[in-house]
Amino acid sequence: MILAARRLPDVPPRSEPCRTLSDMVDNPSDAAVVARVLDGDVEAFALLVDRYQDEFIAYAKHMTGSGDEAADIVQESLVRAFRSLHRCGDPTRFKGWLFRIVSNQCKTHVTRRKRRKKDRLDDIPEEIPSSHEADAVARTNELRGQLETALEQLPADQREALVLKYIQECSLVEMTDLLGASTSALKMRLKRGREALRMELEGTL
Amino acid sequence: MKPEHERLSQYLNGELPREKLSPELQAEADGFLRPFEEAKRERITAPPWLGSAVMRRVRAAPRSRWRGVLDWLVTPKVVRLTPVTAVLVLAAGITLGTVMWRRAAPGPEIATEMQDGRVTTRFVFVAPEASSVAVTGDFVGWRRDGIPLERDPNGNGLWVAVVRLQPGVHQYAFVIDGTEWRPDPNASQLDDGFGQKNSVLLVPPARS
Repeated sequence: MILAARRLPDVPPRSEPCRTLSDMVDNPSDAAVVARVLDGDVEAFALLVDRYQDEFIAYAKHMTGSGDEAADIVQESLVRAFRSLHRCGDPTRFKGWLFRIVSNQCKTHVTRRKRRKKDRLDDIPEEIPSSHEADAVARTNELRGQLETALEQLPADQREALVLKYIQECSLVEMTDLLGASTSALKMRLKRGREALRMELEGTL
Repeated sequence: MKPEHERLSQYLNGELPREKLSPELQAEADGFLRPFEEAKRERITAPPWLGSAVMRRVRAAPRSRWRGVLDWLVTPKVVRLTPVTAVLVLAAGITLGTVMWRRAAPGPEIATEMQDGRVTTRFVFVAPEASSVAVTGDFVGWRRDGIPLERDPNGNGLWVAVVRLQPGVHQYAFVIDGTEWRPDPNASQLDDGFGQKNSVLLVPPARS
């Protein structure tokens, strides 16, 4: 089944929107869940895990180009988020805060992977896919594979901007909120990213 | 490679509707976005084990309440103040600092013994940069040269003079380098009627 990717950065507003009583019971806000967890209700954290794991897996997959790595990154990020939940200054913006953790983890993984490859100085292929991944790659559209390969060559900040803008469909305002950069800086990052991506894809498309 | 057309940039940034592009630029935009459209079709979901793996780790190391308190204490906080509050806090700090400094600083010391009907009084003034310091007042007819203070040999910037004064209320000031008149920061002050301040000293009668 083919479905469109879910949008990632639907950043919650600063103030709580109007919510019905059943909403608040069945689907509590991030801030309410964070308060419960901080009050000792560890199990409530599962609500946040269920709410965001798919969105962040998609983001991490596009950032790292590997589904297995993405799962590790999201798992680690969620555990880190739980351990430092008291540092989430504004729980109504939990999603943006979690995004920054995932984003940093992605960059760290990619940097480490590149360093390992450089250290080896051999012809090991860019990614040794597991049999499961090999099947997935086989099914993946060629165009999609070329994009992933090209994105991997880009600097992390440009890759992140392109993924957020053109796969996760973020607006510039949402990106500003998530990445903490000014609109003009993001426009420049996007433009450089597009140019670099065209260079990488030149001849393959 | 030719630079990106400005209108194409605006469209790809989400700042311009597609209809505003020429057919050529629309085709160029579609060509750029096509791989992303393909990527978006891929359904990516978390593996089934992920949620339970996270919760297993979370349960294994629950945060204790004391740990939470400790973390809160050592975590930097952003303190938000209105400008008015900030000014008030600053003013309170300066006032408190001034009071503490005045308490700590040496002031005129008055002996408890009296000789020849006069009370021994020790004047102290802090002026590390001064070349000379004198104390003058009603007890010397406000002469500019007054009674010279001696620099403390310990090199702490203190100037000291011991003067015998009649019991009663005296007004005085210090003269720095023969030109600059300054009140004693450690004593009460009165307006001298000419826009300056005089220091006030009460010398009580002491036993002989």
